[in-house]
Amino acid sequence: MANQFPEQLNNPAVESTLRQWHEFDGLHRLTGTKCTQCGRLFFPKRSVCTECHSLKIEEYQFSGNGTIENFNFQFLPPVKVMGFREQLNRAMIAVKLDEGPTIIAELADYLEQDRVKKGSKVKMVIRKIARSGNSDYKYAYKFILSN
Amino acid sequence: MKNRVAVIGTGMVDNPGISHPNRSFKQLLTESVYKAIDDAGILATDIEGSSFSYTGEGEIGHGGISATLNDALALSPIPGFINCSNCASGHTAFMQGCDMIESGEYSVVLVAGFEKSTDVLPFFDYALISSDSMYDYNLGYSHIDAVLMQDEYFKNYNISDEKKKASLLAYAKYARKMGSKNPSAHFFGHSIPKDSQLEKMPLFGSFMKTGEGSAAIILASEDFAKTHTKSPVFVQGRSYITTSHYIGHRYDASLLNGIEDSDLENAGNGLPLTLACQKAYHQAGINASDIDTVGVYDQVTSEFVSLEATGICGEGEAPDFILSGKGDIDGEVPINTDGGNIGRGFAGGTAGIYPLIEIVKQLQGTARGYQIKRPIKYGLSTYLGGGFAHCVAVVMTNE
Amino acid sequence: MKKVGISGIGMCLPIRRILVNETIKNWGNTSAKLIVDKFGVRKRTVLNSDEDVITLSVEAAKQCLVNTKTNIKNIDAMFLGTVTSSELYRGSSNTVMEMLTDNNQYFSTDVAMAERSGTVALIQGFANVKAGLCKSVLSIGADALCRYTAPGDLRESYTGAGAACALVDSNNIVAEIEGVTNFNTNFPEIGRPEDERFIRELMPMDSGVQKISIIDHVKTAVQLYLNKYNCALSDFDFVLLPQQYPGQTFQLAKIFGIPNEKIEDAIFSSETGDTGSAAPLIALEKVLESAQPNKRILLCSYGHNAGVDVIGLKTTNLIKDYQKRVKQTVTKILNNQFDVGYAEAMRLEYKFVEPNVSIGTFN
Repeated sequence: MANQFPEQLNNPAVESTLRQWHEFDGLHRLTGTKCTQCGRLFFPKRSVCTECHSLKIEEYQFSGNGTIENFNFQFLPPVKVMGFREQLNRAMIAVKLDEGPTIIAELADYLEQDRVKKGSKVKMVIRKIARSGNSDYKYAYKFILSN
Repeated sequence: MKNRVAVIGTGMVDNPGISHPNRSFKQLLTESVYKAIDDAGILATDIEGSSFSYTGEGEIGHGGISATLNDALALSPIPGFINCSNCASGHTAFMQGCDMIESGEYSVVLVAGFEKSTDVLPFFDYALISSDSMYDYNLGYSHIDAVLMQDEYFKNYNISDEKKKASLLAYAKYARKMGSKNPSAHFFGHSIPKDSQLEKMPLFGSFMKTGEGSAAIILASEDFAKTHTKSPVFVQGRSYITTSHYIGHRYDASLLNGIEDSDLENAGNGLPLTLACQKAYHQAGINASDIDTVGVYDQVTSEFVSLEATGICGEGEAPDFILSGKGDIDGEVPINTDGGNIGRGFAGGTAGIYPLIEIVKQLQGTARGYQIKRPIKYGLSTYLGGGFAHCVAVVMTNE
Repeated sequence: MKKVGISGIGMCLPIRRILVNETIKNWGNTSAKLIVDKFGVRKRTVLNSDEDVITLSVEAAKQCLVNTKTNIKNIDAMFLGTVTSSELYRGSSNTVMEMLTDNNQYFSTDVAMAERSGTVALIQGFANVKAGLCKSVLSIGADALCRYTAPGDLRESYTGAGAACALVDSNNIVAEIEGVTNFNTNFPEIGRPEDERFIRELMPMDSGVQKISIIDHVKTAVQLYLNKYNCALSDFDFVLLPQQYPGQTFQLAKIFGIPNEKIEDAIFSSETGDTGSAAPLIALEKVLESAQPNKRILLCSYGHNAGVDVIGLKTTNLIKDYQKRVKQTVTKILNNQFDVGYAEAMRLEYKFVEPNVSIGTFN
């Protein structure tokens, strides 16, 4: 556990947990926003409505249920993102949430590529994502097949 | 007609498909900029403002860079502006340069960019950070996933797997053919691989070759150009559209102001680029059928989606356009005559300036590789940043 | 005095498994036959690279809320029993709660008492509700022991991960808690000092040691319960003994003369290996899925502190409705599994050697 040469790394761009904390409602609970003027729903959350440009926005809790709209497998080296290397061929999906918006996420534990199809029903789970640059553990939503 | 923006000089560092480890970004930029200054027949001190492009602070470890760059180029104390729009940075710097000329405040403007990806170890990840970040990169999604998700295009237009493979392979081969004759290209001097070799490559070889480089364009007002340059090229129309980095938003076009139909868009179509092209054509007073040569962002399916967005061919028809040879050097509308991202190479922060220069050279008859033989009048350069987050279209003419 | 008990339990297990021999054949340091035949374990759970105690606990809690038709807004305390959380300073119960709700008015505590942590969390929940400090409590037992078990450790092939969450309150109880006794000593069989990753045996765990540790501790604690509540083992329809692996349960049952029909309904760990703090709650849920009303259950857990918690429960008339309602049964969850090989398990559980600083997109 102890570093053998504990020198400070010269890297000014180390994430503060505040950056994640601002988004805990979205990342942990799939909370988005709703415009109180025109009723439009958004995920990720917004501060101004794209429809009517109202600033009167409130929180909206999505159910976590959705359908696969599009998907691909990260099979090429240039597609790998730092901190996500333990999983080979991660499945990235565009999910149409039951309530309307389409969002991007990983499809976890899909087991075989043939099981991933457009139109499959999915539901949200909480999983660990890549460890932060400041060493803290981070969590966010992923989806699993609903069957 | 109002005073148009003119391109009076160009310069580039050859082979943007490889790293140039023995040269710093300042050295790369100095090479391309002073080549452009020489090509324009002006003095460095004639430049009144600069519009730079690069991929961003995290990607090379330098911030607030325009002062550093003006100083490195011995151009200080002129104003310097920065454009960071992912792959489209070069094109948006060009757009800004044009705005600067049209404002009347500047007679001569430098548009220049560079890419120095090997200065930072996880460079590729900083490129991937250029997204909405908290809701995509943070979750292990990169904007190359966006490229792969464009596969939806083939399903939407019922394009068979055989045709998909054949068209990607044909394009990959064509891009290398164009690059093989172009001294500025990564593929220069190489023999074109056989189909059986391309088949074994990821995505049949239709994947860009990344590297480092720099390219520069000198812009001037039409009046200045006519008194200083023998064969200037003019910007006839141009447009820059922003959407969103978040790919989930690709599924709802009504997030864009002025568009009601939410289903107009998905990850497999190029609606934002279509909007940019339509606006550029309108400004230029032309149609898609007037375009004699085109530059598209070639990276797997993007070349097909972009081509269709320009209106040069119909929806779902780009693979046939490529397979029939209509995009070849002697075809109806030659595409990416310098080899594109695949044959010429791709140096992120300056990538878009290379194809702009190629269009200029084709219009002037001075292309370094394959030259379009028949007389041409209009060239269109299009480029993308992120997953259609930034879309730029520029129409140029030699008239 | 109001009745307080368990209204339902939810679980979450990783879906990956590794067969016992897949592990042992790499080291050849123990007998697969011993583990499979005597310990009774076929395979252990393997954590995915994106799973840990927090993710397992959140999903177990969500399942519990579904099983009990409870709104999270009504929960006013969380007791998270685990010894393998990855955050050592802030505790993890607030993190788990925050992933369930934006409500902030709750009491929370992590509890770390070796493998007893789940039953300790249950007892604390029970005590809080009984005392009137809280109304509805989530008591979680969760562990990712496999992440902290070294490659080549003799226990590696049967040490896994899992989480179970019980709702403790005084409404809609399906199993009332009738009594609690405890027996604790300072007996350091197993430990993990603050600067070490791997949980290790600190003394030879031969049968002589087993006699004075788990066997005598459980015997004494159970006797204390029977004395305190003036009852006999024969009064109980189900006796849930410690279940790191089935062999342990059967061995203890034999020593105490408990017939198999009182223990076999609770056996699950042949398919999961040791799930640590989750084990007693998973065993309890397995029994609750088929028990009749008004049946007595004696739940006994053992932690290598050493300590024993003994909890007496009685099922209520509401158990039949509960059984109809629960879709995610223990059997169903156990069947949802997928075998992996040793290299994959090592990669997913971060057991390959890595550089101190690993920066680069492709390495």
